[in-house]
Amino acid sequence: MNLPDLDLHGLLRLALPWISRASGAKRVSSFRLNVKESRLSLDLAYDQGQFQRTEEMIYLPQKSPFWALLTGKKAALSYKKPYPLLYVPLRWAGLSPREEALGVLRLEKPGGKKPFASGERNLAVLMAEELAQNLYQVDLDHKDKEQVRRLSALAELAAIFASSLRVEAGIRQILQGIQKHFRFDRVRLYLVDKSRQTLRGELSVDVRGKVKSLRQEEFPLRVGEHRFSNVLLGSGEGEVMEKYKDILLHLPLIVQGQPTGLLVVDNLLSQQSIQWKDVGVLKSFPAQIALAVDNARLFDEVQELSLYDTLTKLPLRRYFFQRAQEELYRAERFGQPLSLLLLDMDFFKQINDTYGHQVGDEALKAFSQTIVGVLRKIDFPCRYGGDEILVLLPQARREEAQMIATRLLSAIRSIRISVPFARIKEIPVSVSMGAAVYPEDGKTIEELIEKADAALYWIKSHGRDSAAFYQEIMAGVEEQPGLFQGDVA
Amino acid sequence: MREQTITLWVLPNHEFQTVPVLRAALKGFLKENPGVLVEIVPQTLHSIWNGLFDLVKNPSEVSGPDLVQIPGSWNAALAQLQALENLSELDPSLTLDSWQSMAGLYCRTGEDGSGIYSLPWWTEILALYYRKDIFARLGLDPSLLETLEGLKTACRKIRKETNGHGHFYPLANSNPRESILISDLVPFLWSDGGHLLDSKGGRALFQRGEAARGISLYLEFLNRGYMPLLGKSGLVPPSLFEGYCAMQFSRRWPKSMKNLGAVPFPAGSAGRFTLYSTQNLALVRGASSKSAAYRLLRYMTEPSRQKSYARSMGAFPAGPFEWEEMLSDPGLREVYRRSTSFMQGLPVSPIMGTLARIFERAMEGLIFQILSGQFRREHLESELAHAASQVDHILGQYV
Repeated sequence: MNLPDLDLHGLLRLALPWISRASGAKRVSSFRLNVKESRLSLDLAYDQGQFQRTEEMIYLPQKSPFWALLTGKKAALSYKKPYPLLYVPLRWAGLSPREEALGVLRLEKPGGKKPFASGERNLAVLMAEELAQNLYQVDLDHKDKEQVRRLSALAELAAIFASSLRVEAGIRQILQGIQKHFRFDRVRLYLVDKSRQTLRGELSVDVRGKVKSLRQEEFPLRVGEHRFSNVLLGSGEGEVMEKYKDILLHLPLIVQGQPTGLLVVDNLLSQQSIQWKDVGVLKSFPAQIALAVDNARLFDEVQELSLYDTLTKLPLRRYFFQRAQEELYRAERFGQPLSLLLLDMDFFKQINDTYGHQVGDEALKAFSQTIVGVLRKIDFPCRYGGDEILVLLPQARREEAQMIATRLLSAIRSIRISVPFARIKEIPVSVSMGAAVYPEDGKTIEELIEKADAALYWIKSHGRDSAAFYQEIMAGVEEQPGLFQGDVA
Repeated sequence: MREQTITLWVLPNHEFQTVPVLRAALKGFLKENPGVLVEIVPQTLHSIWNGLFDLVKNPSEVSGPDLVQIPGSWNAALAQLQALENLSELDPSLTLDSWQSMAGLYCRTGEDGSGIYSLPWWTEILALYYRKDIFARLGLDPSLLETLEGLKTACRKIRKETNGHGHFYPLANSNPRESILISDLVPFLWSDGGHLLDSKGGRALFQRGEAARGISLYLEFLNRGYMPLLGKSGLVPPSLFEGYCAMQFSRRWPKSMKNLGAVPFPAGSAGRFTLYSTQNLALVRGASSKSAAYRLLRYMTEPSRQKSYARSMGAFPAGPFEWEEMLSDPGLREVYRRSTSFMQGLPVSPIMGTLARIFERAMEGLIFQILSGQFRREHLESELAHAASQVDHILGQYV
């Protein structure tokens, strides 16, 4: 018998017929003890050449005579009704006196009248001992395999955690990894939103590995508001959850003593018990998961910082150039029009010097927001310099660019910046604008910017609060009152 | 010719004889399909449930069956999990016309109910059987058994007379070896006006007064020792049909009615109800021998074979049949004919399998208290409340 290749049922299928023949029992059943639930559960029954698996449980209240059998105080339990039957413990010599047996064997003579003779009983005890030793070995092999599985899961998940940079992709991989390795019905992740002081749903992975957004779920991060908040803030799961501890686990994610989120795993649909050894391994993950999520969030924030200006929330140069190159390629490839505007707030330095940087910042913010409010969805602005905003106008010919420029002039002129501590109380804002058009003014972004800058310079030196196209300047066109003054013709 | 092996998981329909009986029933199929082998693997309800879930969670690492027997009430849950093949897609000509319409409810799922995910194989109807000689000896009128109150009276009198001698009990459960199943409880629950779920299947109702009362009555039978939970020998006493009880709820009918009488499930305060349940056969998604397994499925569910298989274990086919074909005893025919007018099935819901498991876990806790002599009505109410909140949560998430 090559034991390592046999699982529990394989072993029982070999052993039970042998025990039946040797003991004279028509039917032999093997039960396994579950100490925690105080019951014996049937593994397999054998009866005259046939095997059967049924749900059969022997419950073991405190005074049950089976405890004497299981703790080695009795060698066998024998009954005559309804027919002769005999229970012997699955107990082998390697067990310490305090350890319970693995379970019991039940030997039956249905329809028989003659009880088990002492010889048959002794033989049954010996055979049960032999079987117990083999079962113990099979259990050990199974535990080893499970341990290897858990260690592989640990290694694979650790690699996922270490490599997860972007938050959403990283979270998805983490949750799918946990669901796959621990075979949960569902894995859900909630993250703390520090600014809103809430616990917000992120993602869930279901029994088939399907990912779903949980963004619609949000709970105030205060004790008493929701079970999840209670758990995360250390207030406990509540007595009710004690009932579900076998099928539902809450794992707080804590980084440097601060709650970062909550991982919730459950087997609510299948009602399969979560293995306590898996719980032990899983509890080692929250710290790693918390760090991984935190790192991914930091990474995302840094990415955002390098792409967007913190004051105006407009994209920065680097991002603009990436986008502009794409639009230029489209313009080249498909012959689509493209224009570019360079806007410079008039007298920005004076505003800063006269009223202070705080007012200057407010002016810039209002300036940027107004520009964004006028632009089309496909237009792409960026903070080019201190008070310079560059705007890419995809699919805009000169005429359309002129219309947009006119609207911008008008909208910016209506800005009023409040300065309550100054005598004038409010300051108006105006803008000078230079424009360039692809391909006549340039075939690269740098060329277009250069031409728009030249046009801007011309406006700055010709009264400000206006706009001009490069071609017009080159053609020597005089500024025409009424056009590009913000008045729509 | 290359051999194909179809793995078929079944419940222990014939106890220890499950494999030989089924193997005999499949002789014709094996003859018609040389090169196809059928491996019959008896499983428990839980091992089938867990096995299919494991297969869904880890299809690349877990091996499962090609064909599986499932309670009809699991059809929607397993179809939603994508554990089963959509038979309508496999065979567009497939219809449920040749099955009983109630059985057909437990085969379809999907928003428009258009997908057929399993086929009904056989059905059961719960009835109450009793020993005529014991009733005669004790002067008990069988008409007592028309109501649950009357049943209680009969149990009390029988218990008093027999005083629990040996393993003799007044009343036995339909499947003495198993823990308390939802199918044991629902007729009691219905008889007192209770329901498992609301009419839309969106909320649990079994924790409410009427349902809890009905379940409480069942537990009373156990707590008073009228119905055995566990014999002292750890062996649940054999059944009425083996001579160890005076009465028994049974989903199966016996081969011989000698010395036995039968009545439909007794009436409660809300009327008379009994349980109609089906056992279905389904093709598991990802089955390796899909077309052979489907041929086997159609073979096993062919009407004449259904009748023959059902007859062999005291059940009914899922297709139409005449009572005379199945039951030779006219009294028994009358009992089942009457039962069809008030039989109903478990709700058709994607969470029925889960609900059944939740119920069983709740009952396991109560069994322990009953065995320890510590059972109180409040324990039942508490367990039902917990179970209901769990079911409501799951309904909110998955339905």
